[in-house]
Amino acid sequence: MHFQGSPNMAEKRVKLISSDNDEFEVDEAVAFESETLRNMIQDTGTNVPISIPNVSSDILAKVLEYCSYHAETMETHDDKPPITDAQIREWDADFVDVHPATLYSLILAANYLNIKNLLDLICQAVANNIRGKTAVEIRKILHIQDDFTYEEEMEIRRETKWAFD
Amino acid sequence: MIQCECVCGLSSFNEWASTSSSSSSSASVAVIEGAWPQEACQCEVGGVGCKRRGPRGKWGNETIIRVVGRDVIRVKAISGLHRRCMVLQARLGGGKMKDLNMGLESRGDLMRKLDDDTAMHLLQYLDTTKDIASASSVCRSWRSFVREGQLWKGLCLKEFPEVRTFEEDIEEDQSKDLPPAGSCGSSVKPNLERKERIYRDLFRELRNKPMDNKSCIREAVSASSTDNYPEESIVQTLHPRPRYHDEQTPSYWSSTGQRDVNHPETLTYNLVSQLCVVHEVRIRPFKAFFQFGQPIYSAKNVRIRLGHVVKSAKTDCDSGSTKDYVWTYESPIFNMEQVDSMQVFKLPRPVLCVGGILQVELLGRVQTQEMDQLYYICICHVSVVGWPLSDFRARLTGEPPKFCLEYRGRYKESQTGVHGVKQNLVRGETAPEIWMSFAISRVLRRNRIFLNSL
Repeated sequence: MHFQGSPNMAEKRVKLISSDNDEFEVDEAVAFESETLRNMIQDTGTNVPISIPNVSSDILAKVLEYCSYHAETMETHDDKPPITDAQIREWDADFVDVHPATLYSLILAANYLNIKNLLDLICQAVANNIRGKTAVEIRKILHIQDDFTYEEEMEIRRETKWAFD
Repeated sequence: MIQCECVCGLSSFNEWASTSSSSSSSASVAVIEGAWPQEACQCEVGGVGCKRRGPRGKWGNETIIRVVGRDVIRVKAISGLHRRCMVLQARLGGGKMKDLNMGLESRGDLMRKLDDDTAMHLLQYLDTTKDIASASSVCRSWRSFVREGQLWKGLCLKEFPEVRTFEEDIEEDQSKDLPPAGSCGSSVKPNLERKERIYRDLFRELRNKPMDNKSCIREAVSASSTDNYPEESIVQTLHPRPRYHDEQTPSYWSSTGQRDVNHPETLTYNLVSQLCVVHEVRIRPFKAFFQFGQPIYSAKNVRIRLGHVVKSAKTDCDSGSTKDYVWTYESPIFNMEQVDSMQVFKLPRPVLCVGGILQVELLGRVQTQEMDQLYYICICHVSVVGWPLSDFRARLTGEPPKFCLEYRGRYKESQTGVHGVKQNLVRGETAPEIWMSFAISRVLRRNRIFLNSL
């Protein structure tokens, strides 16, 4: 007799709703990459669509792309060779090779959804973006207001002047 | 010709970038150029009430679509991120083009939206002096992130793992001129601001270029063996030349003779400061110019160890043993050549010596003495290229003893004072002596002022 597997074993699907009211449907394993979603699913089950009010569709699509790839790397298939760490690193590098603005939206999403690996990956990418930049350039890139007083600015300049020699 | 409208601020998924063609020609081809997101794009073309779907899928830098008359071209990224900056140009045939700039939507201060943990997490990836210095001068919150994340300490630990030796750090109180003798003389102010200052200035000192013309050795401590004392003692290795000024008296250290070619020897030295950054060690083997054939009694290999004394056991010259030392760093094994020249053994990276003890291990022998057919190692000169830290001290405190990093106050605005201290250290004075001379000069000055007022 052909064993189909118990209904419990079947892949459960989870519905997610973005801030733009777009609906995404993913495997439970994919959603479980996010600690926040895991907690929500464990609370409410998979029948109710989960709304994610502070993540837009485009960003959510990107986040789910990451989650599904990384959920896939966890699976072992007899017929396929396992995905190597080098391949994952390469995929990750491609994944974060996007415009800085996207990265920043992704950081907020990864932070809210609590996906540690994704957060690490993006933080590293953002850090790479500001590496070698001056304070003025960093402010410009990240739209940060300079809130130092003149005295503070002078103090900091005194403290760190040597670093630029 | 296509007239383009500027469409900005595509803020949500369902908005489109649009441009209308007001071409009088009946049918043409529009080329849409843009810095497209890597995701799939979709476009709709058509007049009012009549829409045709353009190509769907991944777009290249230029995508050609057919337009008719006063068509409206609307473009959207399907899964993409239209919040990014896109420059869209629509061009009809070979006609003029006009840019459509969809500017980067202002998204405010990113770091303010992130919780502090995430922001600090991000800054942890900054690992160069310049980047950390820049980050702390971005804004107030970044400055505090650098402080709370202890980025300077992290940098110290990364480049000089020996900094881990310090389990405590204190800063001498600014209000007191001199520490009272015999006591710690410091008030512990456990705050991040102090820690930042200590480790920022520590790193500043650690990365100093080594002194090029002075050795960091203060005195010779002991040799594992000495053939003839004192003519061939380790003290002789501090003299740079193989002979003294009379051109007769040789200056070198010699081990005792051994049958075993592998019998090792060690030379132990005190560095000018308890805290020294060691870059390289230079060793000149001795060529016995007074023996037949002028043999060079070099060693096969050299290894450098850095560390500190376990307890203040008094070690006499030429009788010390290794059991009194703890080595916090051990270099790889270098090859020594059997030539009469200053040989440079550069450490793979500058290393902070905590405790001021440097040991040269001489591994393996190559030269026998004709007279007794025993193997000897003879060294003419040893010098250490490095940088003594002047504003910091290492102190062993507590039980079990642990190292405490003492910071002697803020980096002075003028470098002259600091430099003066350094010069003294180089000349071979111990730190307490400097404090003493400083104290005496102050007393003298005070007296002079007192006399003048009379």
